[in-house]
Amino acid sequence: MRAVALIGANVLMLVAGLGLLPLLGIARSWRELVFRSGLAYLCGLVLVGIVSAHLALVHVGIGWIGLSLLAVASVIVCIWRLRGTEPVRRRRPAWIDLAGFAALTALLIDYARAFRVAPLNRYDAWAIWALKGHALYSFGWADPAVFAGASYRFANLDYPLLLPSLEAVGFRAMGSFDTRLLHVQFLLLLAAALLALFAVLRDRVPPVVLWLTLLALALAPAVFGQLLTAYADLPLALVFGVGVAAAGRWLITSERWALALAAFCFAGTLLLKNEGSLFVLAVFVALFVAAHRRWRPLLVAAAVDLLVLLPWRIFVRVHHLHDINYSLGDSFDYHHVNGRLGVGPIAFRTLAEQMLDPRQWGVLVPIFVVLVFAAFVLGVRALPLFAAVWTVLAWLGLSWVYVISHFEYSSYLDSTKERVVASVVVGAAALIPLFAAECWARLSVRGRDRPRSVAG
Amino acid sequence: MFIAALVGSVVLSAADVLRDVEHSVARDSKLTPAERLHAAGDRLGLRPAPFDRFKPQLRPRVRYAVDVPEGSRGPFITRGAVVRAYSAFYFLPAIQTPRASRVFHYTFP
Repeated sequence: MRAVALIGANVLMLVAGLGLLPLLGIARSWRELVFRSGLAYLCGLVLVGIVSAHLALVHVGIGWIGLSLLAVASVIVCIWRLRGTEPVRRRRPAWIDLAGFAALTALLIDYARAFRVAPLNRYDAWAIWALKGHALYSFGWADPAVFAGASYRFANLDYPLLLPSLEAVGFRAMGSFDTRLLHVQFLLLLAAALLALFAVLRDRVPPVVLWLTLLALALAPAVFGQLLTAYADLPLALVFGVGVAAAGRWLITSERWALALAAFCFAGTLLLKNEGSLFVLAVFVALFVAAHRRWRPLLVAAAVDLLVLLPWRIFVRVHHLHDINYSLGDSFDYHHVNGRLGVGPIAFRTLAEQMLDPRQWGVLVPIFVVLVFAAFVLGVRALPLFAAVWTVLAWLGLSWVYVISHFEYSSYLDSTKERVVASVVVGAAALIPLFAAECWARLSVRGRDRPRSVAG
Repeated sequence: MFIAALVGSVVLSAADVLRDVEHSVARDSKLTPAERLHAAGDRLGLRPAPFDRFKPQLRPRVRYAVDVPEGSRGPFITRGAVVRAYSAFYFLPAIQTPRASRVFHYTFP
């Protein structure tokens, strides 16, 4: 019964996300709505996460009523925005899409056997995320007795509330703090992200490359293992990865909806975990470098993301919450940094080893690196520049955290190295199909030009 | 070449992850409700009995404090801090405060 309730809540989130597609400009007709409907589920999850995280600060909890209101409002907006637009055309799905969906569905069903029995026993999962989700569910809001309480400082109180809010929505729907089914929500997030990546990229890249990339990502042992821990790193990586794919698409096509989607996913990224700020900063710097002539829409997107983060930052400031693991201000503490500069290269190398570990991520990162170089060689500019800048910035930023932290570096690195790289790897993997398509297009043009010049 | 690399990644990962799934299902599906309830504490080597004895004294929003020796220090926090953190999780929706009339006592063997 609880499982049915959780699924029901997720269906309402999907409906809420469907209405968001016309609002973000992703669907401007009924035909586009159907074509890009794969984005609805992730958009719905992120929308409900953002709305419930903000409402939790002002004593409002989202349960069945809130979800239903969001879904109904979404349907009304959808019908109103799309009235009189191009209707849905019946098209027979391609065999490769059917095969891809069948393979992914089979895999997720197999994963579900593990997610529905997993215990909540990993430290960060219960001490940070589920504790906050339980508190939001029990008190109905981010009660400062817990969310700013002196006895709860261990729970990284400065971490934003999207994930615990989403957990609390699930608990309210189930009517119980269910530590078992909580894991199923994480699996559903994976399904939503894979669907979203398919929808973002399906009309820009060869289907065989798209499906193989999605499968390689879904099958990566780190994806399964880290999602099962109920930590926030993989959810962060999945939402961020869809944003990166949308940003990559915008670089190539300048479609406004792609940038809107990227900004929306980055807003979710910012509210998922503090590290999200590093990744979003890296990605915006890379976008400004790669597309500086299009700075106006980028500036608007960045400003919107900052606005979405603002209520949480005000809560953090008002309650004097701070990061217990490190302080960015220590970057300017000469004596501290000088004594730990040697940590930087070690962390940089260790994180690279993690990203390249085939037992964690398959060969996604080596493929990505080869494609970035190939794209440069073939004369593609914006996409590889974007990819190189954000990945290196994120990698350097993650390494810097170990330099400025006051923890003993080897323990800190050992306990976090596997998961902190998830966003970099998933973001890189999300760009693989776009790179493949761009390189293939350049090679095709060269192939066509060569006989012509010979003939000429 | 590129497609072959992607296929290789799929095959390499599939072999590992499908084994991980089987292992997780075999390990976790046998957990009893009591083991599941105390899974986090068991992983930390904490005795469940003191927590279960104290919990019935609490109601939602009731304040309590934790009296525990600091114990040995791990890489990040002391054993005492781990007990306080686990108490905060286990006794929710009661609220832990530094001082309160109700006190949960825990000692290390």
